[in-house]
Amino acid sequence: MSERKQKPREATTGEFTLPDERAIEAARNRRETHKLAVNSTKGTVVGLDYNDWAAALIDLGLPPSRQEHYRVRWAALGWTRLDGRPTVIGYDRGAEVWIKPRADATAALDERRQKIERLVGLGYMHTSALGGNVHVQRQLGPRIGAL
Amino acid sequence: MANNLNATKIAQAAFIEALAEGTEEYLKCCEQIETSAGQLQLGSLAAGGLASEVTAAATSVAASNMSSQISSINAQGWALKHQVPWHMLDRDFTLAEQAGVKLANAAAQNVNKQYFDGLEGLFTTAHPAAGAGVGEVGAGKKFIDTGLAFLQTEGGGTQSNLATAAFSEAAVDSALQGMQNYKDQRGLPLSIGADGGLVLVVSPKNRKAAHELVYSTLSGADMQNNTMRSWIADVACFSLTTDDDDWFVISKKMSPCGIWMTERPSVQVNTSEDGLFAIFTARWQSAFYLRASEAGITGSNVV
Repeated sequence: MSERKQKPREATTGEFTLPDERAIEAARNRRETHKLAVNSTKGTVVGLDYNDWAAALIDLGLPPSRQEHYRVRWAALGWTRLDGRPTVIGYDRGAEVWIKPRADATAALDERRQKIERLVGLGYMHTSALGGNVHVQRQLGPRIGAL
Repeated sequence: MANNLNATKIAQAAFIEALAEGTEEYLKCCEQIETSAGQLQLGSLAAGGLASEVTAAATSVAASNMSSQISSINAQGWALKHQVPWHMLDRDFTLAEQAGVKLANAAAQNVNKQYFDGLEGLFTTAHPAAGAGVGEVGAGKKFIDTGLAFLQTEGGGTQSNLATAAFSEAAVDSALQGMQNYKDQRGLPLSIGADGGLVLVVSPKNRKAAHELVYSTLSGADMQNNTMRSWIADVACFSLTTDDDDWFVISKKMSPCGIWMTERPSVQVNTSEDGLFAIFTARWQSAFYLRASEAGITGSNVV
C-alpha cells in the first residue's frame, strides 16, 4: 500500500449563501442579453449583435506568423480588432475577434462582385464565377398542406 | 518529312495520354453530371420533415407543405484554337505533339478552373431558390450566406453556411458543426458529413495547414485523436483568383454545385482551306451547375 502523503482534504461545512434578489434579477437579465450562448454554433461571439456587426475570427492557436498575416490583411480590409475579452464559442485556445459594421461588410461583398466582374472581363476568371449560366427557374408545387 | 495527316495522328495520341494523367482536382469535390442536352434542370424537392404521431385515437393526419425548386443551366461550348503556317510543322518535329499535349492540359485545366471560379463566386451568386415564398431561402440571398431560411412562412428558422474566420482547426470544426446541424427545407437535420465524405478546399497558401489538419494522427489543438479524419475524406487545392484566404467544406455526395459535362474535350488538327495553315483546336462543352439547395457546402470569406 502506498505511503504517499496526501494533503488533507479541507473539511466541508455544507454552508452557503443564497443569492439575493438583485443577483437573481441580474442573472435573469443576463439570460436575455446572452441568449446567443444557448445553442450557438462554434465561432459565435457571445453578446455580439450580428444584425449590426460582422465578425471575423483568428484562432489564437495558430502559429504567430499566421496570426499576424490575418491581422495585417484584415486591417487593410477595414476590420477593427474588438477590444476587451470577448467570449467565442468553440475556440479552445481563444480567438481574436475583428469586427466591421454589417453595412460595410455588405458593401465589401458588392465590391468583391465587381472585382469578379472585372476579372471575368479581363479573361482571368470563367463566367461561372458570376453564376450567369444558372437561370433562376422556380417551380413551386406540388404543394399540399394547410395553406 | 511530316505532313498534316501525320500531325493529326500525333496530336490525338498525345491528347489521350495527357487526359489520363491530367489533374482533375474538381472531381474530388463534386459529382460530374454527364448528359447531352441543351439545358439541364436540377430539381430540389422539399418533402419530409418531422413526422406526426398517429395516436390510437387519430382519425386523420394533417398534410404538410411539399414544394419543389428548379435551377436551370444552359449548355456552354468552349474552344481553344491555334493556327500555324504549314512549314512550321516541317521545321519542328515535336510541334504537333507539344501542341496536342498542351491543348489537352489546357482543356482539362479550364474545366478545373471553371469549377473553382464558380466556387469563388458563390458568396455573391444569387441563390436559385432566393425568394420569400414557401420552400425558398429568403429574398436576395446568395448561395453561401447567413440567414438562409427553412420552413419559410411556416414558422421555421434560418441557418448559415457562411463562415468568416481565418483558416484553422477551430474554424473548420465550427464549419463541421454547422453542416451536421444543417436542416433541409422541411426542418430536418441532415447530418452532413456523418458518412465521412467531406472535402476541404483551400488555396495553395493553406495547403500545408489543410493536409496537417486532415491527415495528422493527432489533433494540433489538444494532441488527442484527430476527429477530422472521420469527417473529411480529402483535401482539394487550387489557385483561387479572388481571395486565397477563402476555404470551403463540401459534401461530394450532396454536390450542391459541380460540373455538367455535355461533351468531353477533344482535339483536332485541320488544314485551312488554302492549305497554308495547320489549325489546332480543342473543344468541349461544360457548365458550372448549382442545385436549388445549398445544403452540402460551407464557405469562409472575409471581405
